[in-house]
Amino acid sequence: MSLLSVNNLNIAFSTTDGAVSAVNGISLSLNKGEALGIVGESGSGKSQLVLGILGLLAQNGKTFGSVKFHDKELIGLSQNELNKIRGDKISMIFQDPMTSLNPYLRISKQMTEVLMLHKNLSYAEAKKESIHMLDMVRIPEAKNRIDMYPHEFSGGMRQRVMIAMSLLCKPDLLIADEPTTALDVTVQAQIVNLLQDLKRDLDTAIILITHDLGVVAGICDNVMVMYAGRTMEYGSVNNIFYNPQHPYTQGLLRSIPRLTDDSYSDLPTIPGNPPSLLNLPIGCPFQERCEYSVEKCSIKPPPLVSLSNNRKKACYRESVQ
Amino acid sequence: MSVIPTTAGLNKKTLAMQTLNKNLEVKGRSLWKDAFNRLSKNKASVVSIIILFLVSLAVIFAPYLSHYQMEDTDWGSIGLAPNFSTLHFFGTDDLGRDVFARTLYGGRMSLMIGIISSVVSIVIGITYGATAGYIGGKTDDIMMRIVDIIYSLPFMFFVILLMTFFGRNIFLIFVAIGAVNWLDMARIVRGQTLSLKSKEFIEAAHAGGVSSAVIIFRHIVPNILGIVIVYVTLTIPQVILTESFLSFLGLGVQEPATSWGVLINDGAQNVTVAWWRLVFPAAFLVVTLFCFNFIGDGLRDALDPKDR
Amino acid sequence: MVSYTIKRFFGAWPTLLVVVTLSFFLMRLAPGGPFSGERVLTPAVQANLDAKYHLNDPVIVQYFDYLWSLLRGDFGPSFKYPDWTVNQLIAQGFPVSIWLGGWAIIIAVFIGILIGSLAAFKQNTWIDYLATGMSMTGISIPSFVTAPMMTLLFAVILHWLPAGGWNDGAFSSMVLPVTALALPQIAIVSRIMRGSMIEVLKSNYIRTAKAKGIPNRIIIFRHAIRPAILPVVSYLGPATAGIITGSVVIEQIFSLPGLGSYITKGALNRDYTLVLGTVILFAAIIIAFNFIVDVLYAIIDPKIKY
Repeated sequence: MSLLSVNNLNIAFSTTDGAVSAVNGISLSLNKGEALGIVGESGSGKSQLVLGILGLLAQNGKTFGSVKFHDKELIGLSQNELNKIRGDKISMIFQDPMTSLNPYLRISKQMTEVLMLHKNLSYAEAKKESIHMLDMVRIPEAKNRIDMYPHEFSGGMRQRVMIAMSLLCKPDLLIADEPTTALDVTVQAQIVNLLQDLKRDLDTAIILITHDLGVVAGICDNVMVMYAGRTMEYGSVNNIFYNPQHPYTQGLLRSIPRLTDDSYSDLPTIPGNPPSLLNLPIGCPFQERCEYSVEKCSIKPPPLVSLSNNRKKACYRESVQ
Repeated sequence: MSVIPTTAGLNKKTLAMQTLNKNLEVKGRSLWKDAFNRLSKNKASVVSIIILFLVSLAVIFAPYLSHYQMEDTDWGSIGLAPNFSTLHFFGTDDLGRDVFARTLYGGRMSLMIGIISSVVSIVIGITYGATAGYIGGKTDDIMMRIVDIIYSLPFMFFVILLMTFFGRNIFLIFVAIGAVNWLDMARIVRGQTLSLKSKEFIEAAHAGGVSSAVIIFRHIVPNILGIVIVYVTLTIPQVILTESFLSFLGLGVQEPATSWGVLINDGAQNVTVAWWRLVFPAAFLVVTLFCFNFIGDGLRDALDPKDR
Repeated sequence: MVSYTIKRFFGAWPTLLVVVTLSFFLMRLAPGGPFSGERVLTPAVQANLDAKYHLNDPVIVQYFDYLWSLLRGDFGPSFKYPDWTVNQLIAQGFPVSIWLGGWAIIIAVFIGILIGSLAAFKQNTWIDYLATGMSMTGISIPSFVTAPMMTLLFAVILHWLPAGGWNDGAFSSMVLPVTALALPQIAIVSRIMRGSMIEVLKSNYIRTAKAKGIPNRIIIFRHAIRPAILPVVSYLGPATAGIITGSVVIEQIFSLPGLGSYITKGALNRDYTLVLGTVILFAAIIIAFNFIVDVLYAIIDPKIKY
């Protein structure tokens, strides 16, 4: 039995310019202690996917499909019932540590409230536990620092506070939405190490959203490549990285700068921009930027088909070695 | 440094500038068109524009619309309630003057003061703000500090002081109201100018040896036009309000001239015996203020859709 | 915190000095002496008056005289009521104005915050549209229109409340003036509150709180109210100015013996010292309020550097 299983999930937003479908028929499953990376350009629907899973979409957003967590259906649950799961069994870290902590409340207040709410601890117990957790994410002098305000911490420290806060209840699943994007490179590495330790020591399942493929390689077991709200390719990190099948994945991998490459040629990029979610093209969403696109691509979107080695791809093109 | 890369670099920059300018032009045109489309979809604004247009026409053509003139005293009908048989549509006051005619003439005065004083304050505000923002540095600091200080003073009382010490005349009302309303505009324009100043096309004009005054008036002012238009529509009702407030206290427009504020004051004093003397001028004033506010809000939304 | 407060406290004085200086020299710039409106006086009488009011001294001496007497809390004699000092006139009107304005501002802030928050929570529902519409109305209709209109309705037509008068601050006499004075401010406060609450509810840290499973009620009271209320706090200064300005007309309409009625009378009679004294007092109140607001803001917002 898998910890989380998402089946044919669709997310749509009603806007003044019409309905926008941000996520189209995504399915995925995740076992205890497993880490899944979701990669794709901005606007590919990665963040909306996880926000939809947690019921945190903006007011005009709507979710269709099924999300089962511990075999319990999350779609259609009331906010009250969701509140029992959020922060306790599933917790989330956000992209921007500078704005994700409440600037008007002390860290102690923001951390203890989680434990007091979900674990019914007293303030003193909750604070002790919070300090312990801050120590664990290597915040120096956690005992003194816990009574500070967020603006008294640096960006990397704040993200660590966020991580500590999300781990307070020892969740089964941690969702990290671009946890390193807003940070310096050295700090990025520290955060990646921290997430690796967590996975190993606490057996926490992780969904890691990023467009940094290096971070994925460091933490994840499996990778899902998303484009325009659809799964393009899915497979283990090794398979995806060393033998990408989808032209989009190939393009993404080509655009990573390599230290070993000493030619002065320009870094290859994928030409063009992602399609507008307001009017997606009929057929494959990637067709306009794809060097291999054929007539069939513009008629019907290629279905996500399973290949060998437990991998999947959505492309008409024959597999290449 | 060799010559060739420099020229090449220069050419590249010129080219980039030309495309940028082109983009700006295209963007500029569609921006206004978009804004117009959005505004025409905003029902409240469209209705407001129509009403305001009708009010303006009525006020301009007052002599032809009303059977009576502003100072005509109809001794046969003093303190008459509104009726159509005597053609006193809004009734008469205690001197037998036609309230309909007086409301239209009062509107003339109120609208005129509103528009002229707004223009005065906007010109002062733009010049001051653009100068401070454009020159920057110490000058900017000092100029904005002055604005801050004036800002924290109670305006209305300064106007009252002016009226007390210098006597009450219309010219002074223009000056007083214009002088206190330019502060917001100066702040807004300064902010816009600061952010525009770092844009490439301004830098390019500067590098090309165009004088500062020309840059301010040819490049910066047109670029802040949108916000200025919004601000004008929001300043006019404020100014009308200020004028009415002063006139209401007897410190503004003086008899025999009249304005909505004067009429409302008359009406308020006689509200127990002649409601029509209050209700009609008040309705005209309020509807006008409403229209300006709706148009201003509509324009702001139309020009700055991200605010929605 | 203490040093911040002290700094702000001393920072407030120069503004007051500017007000006093500007007002004083405006008065001296005025064409004609303070008695020019009166019937022609004999030179002897004129000289007596001048001596009494120190009008013969050089202007700069008069200025420092005035500053010195202000420091001792003395606004000088009234130019038009020979038996009264400005202090006595102010002492008469001040309690009335404080009573009126105090209630108006308390009501405006509380009801404004309530309506604004409600509209934000129920964004794009009929509650929001009603609240936004009412606030638009409140902003567009000046109090010198609402006040006589309310008198017409509640006093003349319905006979529920008196049309005016002080009656020692009786509740029934206060309802209409306080309401008329508070209405525009309620409108503005609710509009500010709605905007900032919507902004805060959209913020990342509220999303974090939701992701932590915090119930809505706690999110609003613990996480959202404080940041959302900051713009209202900084509006308190202008709100005071607005209420004081409004009280001038409201006191005239409801014939209340407050400071506002003195300033109007003084302005119409050209009673220089009375108008000067009242304006300076009002300015001092507004400046004092701005100071309080600054301190309050620093208490609420931990990011303010002391």
